[in-house]
Amino acid sequence: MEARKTLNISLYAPAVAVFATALAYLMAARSWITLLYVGKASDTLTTCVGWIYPRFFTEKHRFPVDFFIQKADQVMIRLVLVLCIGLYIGFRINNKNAEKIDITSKEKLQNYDLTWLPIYFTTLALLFTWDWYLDLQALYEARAFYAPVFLLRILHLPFPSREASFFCCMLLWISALGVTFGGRARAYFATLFFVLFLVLQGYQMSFYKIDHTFALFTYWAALMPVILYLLDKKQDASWYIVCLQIALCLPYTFAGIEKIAIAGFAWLQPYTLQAYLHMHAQPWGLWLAKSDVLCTILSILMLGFELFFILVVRYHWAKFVFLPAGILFHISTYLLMGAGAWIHPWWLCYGIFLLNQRK
Amino acid sequence: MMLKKIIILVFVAWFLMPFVLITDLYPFFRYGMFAEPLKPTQTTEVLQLLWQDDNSKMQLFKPDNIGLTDNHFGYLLRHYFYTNQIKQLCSQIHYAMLKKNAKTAVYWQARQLKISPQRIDTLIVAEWKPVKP
Repeated sequence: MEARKTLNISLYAPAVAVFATALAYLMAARSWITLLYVGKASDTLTTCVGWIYPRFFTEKHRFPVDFFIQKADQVMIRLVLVLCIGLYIGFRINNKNAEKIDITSKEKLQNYDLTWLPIYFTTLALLFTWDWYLDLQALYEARAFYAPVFLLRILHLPFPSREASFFCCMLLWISALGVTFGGRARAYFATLFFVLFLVLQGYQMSFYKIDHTFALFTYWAALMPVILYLLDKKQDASWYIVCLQIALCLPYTFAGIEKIAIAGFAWLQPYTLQAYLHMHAQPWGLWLAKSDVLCTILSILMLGFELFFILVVRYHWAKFVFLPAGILFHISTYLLMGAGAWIHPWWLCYGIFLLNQRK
Repeated sequence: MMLKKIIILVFVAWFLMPFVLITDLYPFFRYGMFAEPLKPTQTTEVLQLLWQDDNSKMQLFKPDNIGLTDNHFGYLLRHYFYTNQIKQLCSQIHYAMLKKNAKTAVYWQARQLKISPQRIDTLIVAEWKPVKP
């Protein structure tokens, strides 16, 4: 009973805090955006926005102030929406028996056959990072333009010297190999790999371009130490595999949700895809842009694919539909818009959905 | 059980934070690619940086001269263009190239191309000449 009371208070406190923030936004903070836009905001606010939205100072030369006010409104709407959903889930867990909502007891997961998982991980890790040393060497030449991303700014990390890049890349590759050949220490190798992967990837994005190419593999690398640790302890890691599968699906889901949240139903009309095709000016894309019918069909299929990709976690049949569709999706994005590559790191991670369950 | 709760919290924050704030905060990725609605248009905007060495004609600057890929350089150029800092960019590139004893230019020019199926409009958006010592 006492625990339930504590939980209730711990749920009310953030709720009150966030609703107060939303109210404060409507009463006062909304007008700060205009001040920021015309360069009359306080130094503290300017610094904060510089941290969270470094692109604001680039984009304000392109868009009117209404564009940014609209964005800020959307941030508050999303905050309140997420909070409401979080509270609903929190209250449900609080009011019912927590065990009933715990997915570990509900799903009745079987053990997965994970014997080839470390080999798969090492192969992809080496495939994705083999040229990072060369990339970092090249970027060293451009270090005058180094604009550290959020993580590197927090850690105050300067751009690495040639020697430091070499040392870090060697460690990265050794730790990738250690995931397969590291024996009882492979969970530690996986941890080291994750840290280095995160930092070195961050350096490559610190030139005004955030790249999602290795996003799925980043989630996998984050969970790999726990999975290997449990396997070495001969414990069941299946819950974490499901967690990983969900994490690999969520980027698609959020890409779909963002399209609806930002553009409403504009993606159900042909002109949105047509405008993107013209913007990227690829030969196949320009050809496709001529057809309203094809553009409408492709837009709807793409939105459906993104929103429902997560079904592959739950339904076996969905794997036969959505995994080939995912490969086609990435290939067509490359063909029509020149984004990505023929062999895209996202679909190379789809093997996680094909782990056989032991009968 | 504690570990599971931590993992759930970390992943929820990992996905929700950039979603709520509508921005990438690496390593918190936001998946808003191609989400912005575009006005129906057939115009493509391209930014170019050109340079000219002694007595030669204007040529496109190749970003690999400063260790960047075309893709990286495109974003860099866009950033400097929209913050009205193209001249600073030219000077930074110029001195970076001088530093490594590479051949550099006597004149720099940035252009904005608006390409439509009917025509290409070219606008010179910035020019810069290095000061001779």
